[in-house]
Amino acid sequence: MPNFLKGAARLTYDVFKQLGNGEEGFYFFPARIGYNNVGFSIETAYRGYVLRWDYYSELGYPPIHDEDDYVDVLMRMHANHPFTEEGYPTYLYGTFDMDGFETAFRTELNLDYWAAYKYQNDIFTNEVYDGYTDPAHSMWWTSMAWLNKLYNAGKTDGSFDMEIFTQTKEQYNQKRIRGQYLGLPAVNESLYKAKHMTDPDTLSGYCAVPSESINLYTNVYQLLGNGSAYMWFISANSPHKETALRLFNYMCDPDFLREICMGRRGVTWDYDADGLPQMTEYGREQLDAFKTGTTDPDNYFAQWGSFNDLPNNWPILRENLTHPDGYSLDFITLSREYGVATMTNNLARDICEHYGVELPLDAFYKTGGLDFRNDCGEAISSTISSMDRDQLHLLAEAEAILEDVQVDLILAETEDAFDTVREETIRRLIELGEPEVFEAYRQKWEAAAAIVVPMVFKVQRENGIEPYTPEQYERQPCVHMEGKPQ
Amino acid sequence: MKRILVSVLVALLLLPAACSACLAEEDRPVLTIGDVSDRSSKRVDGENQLGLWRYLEDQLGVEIQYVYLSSDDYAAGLSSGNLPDIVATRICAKLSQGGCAADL
Repeated sequence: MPNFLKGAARLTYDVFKQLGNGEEGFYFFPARIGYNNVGFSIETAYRGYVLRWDYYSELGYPPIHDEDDYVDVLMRMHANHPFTEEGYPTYLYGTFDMDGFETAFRTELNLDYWAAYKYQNDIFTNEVYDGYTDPAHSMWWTSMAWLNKLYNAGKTDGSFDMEIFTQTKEQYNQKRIRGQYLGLPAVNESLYKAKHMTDPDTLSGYCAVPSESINLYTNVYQLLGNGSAYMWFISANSPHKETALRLFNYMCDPDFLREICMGRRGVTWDYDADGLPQMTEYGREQLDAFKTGTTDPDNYFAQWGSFNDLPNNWPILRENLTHPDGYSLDFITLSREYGVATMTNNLARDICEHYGVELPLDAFYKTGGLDFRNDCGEAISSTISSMDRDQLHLLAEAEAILEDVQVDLILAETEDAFDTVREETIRRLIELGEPEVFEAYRQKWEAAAAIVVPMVFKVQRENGIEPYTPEQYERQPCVHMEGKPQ
Repeated sequence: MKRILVSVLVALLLLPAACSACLAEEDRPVLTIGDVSDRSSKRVDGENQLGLWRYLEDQLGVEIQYVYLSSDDYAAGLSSGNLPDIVATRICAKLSQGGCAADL
């Protein structure tokens, strides 16, 4: 039996077979099935209330419980540092994507970003919502309200960056690497890396504040990999179909995947007398040097590569899946012990010291954050076929309506002005017929969810990750974008 | 001394694979991979190719050529059917209807 019909990869085939009509073929390979982040594999949460950590620590690490706290902290940071050390003006917040990706991670919404169009699911219940006409469950509408709040907070002293509407990606990146943005949608290391070159003890860099109001993107089991964002197929016209199929088979071969992660067996690792995989002395030395950023071009892993050196869509399985020998494919670096021993980032260390924890993610759990373990959005979305031509045309018109009012919403001078534009926009979307398209999508979603959700929860339980109960995820009242309890 | 010895052993272990690759490369079929993404390549092919990709090529007996496709290139490929052997895509459902993906 080929490797892609065994183990974790097999589930892909099973899902599509259950959802298909029995006559349709099997066309696609997913990219990176497995856990997208485990509880100890990253140094800090990537999204949430992200800010310049050096300025935040100066303020004494004030707790951030919601958007209002976040804006308040950003404004205090701006008051203390209207200019960077190099003399560039600072701004409350910078973004290049206004669709609201970052807001999905806030507990006001509990949304998964990856569903198609602006149809987004609750990460705990997996219910799908219409993000066009349901502003209480919409990243886009929440993003508009968030940027409008920032505009009104910073319009008088120039701390709202008006260039976010016009600047290029390069200009945005330049401001970010200079540290001109006090808050960001996501952690970015460019400022830290630049500052660290001249100051080994620097705390200049972007980091997310541990908060109970942030959902951590960890323990996410991607049954169908990075779908619907990415999938692979073999071209129908390829003269090399058999060879291409063999390549996919290698990409699902646990022995090959082990070697991608750990190097060649017999060189950098091997089994000991008890049958346990162990790094060789040479392998451990080379791996440690590689992981701590060696610049030696002859380093084994610099030449061989590693899991993280693969393009983002390779291979089909992730490094945190279990090899038939009972150990993780990457049996060294995916452990708390390795994370603690190799934690060199000053910001990560500072978080651990301030919050009294071993690893930064511990601080997020300690403050009450929950993770994405219940979320099946990517897998469900992957199984849903595209809308038909008329529906896609209508959604394109809906997108155009939103784009048309985006600037008016962000630059609205009052809440009433914002609400007026919002209500008129939703009226136009309803008149267009968008809710009927959503209803067709919702029916497909629910049919897929009925199959996918139990499968994901089963895998999670098998791996010792118990899905959250309503009592756990309904731990605090959700807050509408208007700030009223739901 | 021990480190030098290990390095020599590693070189000897890698040598047969490297030589067989040199001898076989000219006759190998080219397997093209198209990635509809603007993410940067990580030494998949060419002079600085990572060892793991070279090893995979040897196992399969092919030369891998990895290209990043723009949205326009991809759309043109979908229309003409002239696509790389393997493609990474975001638009799955449309493809099976269009007949561009092989039924496996």
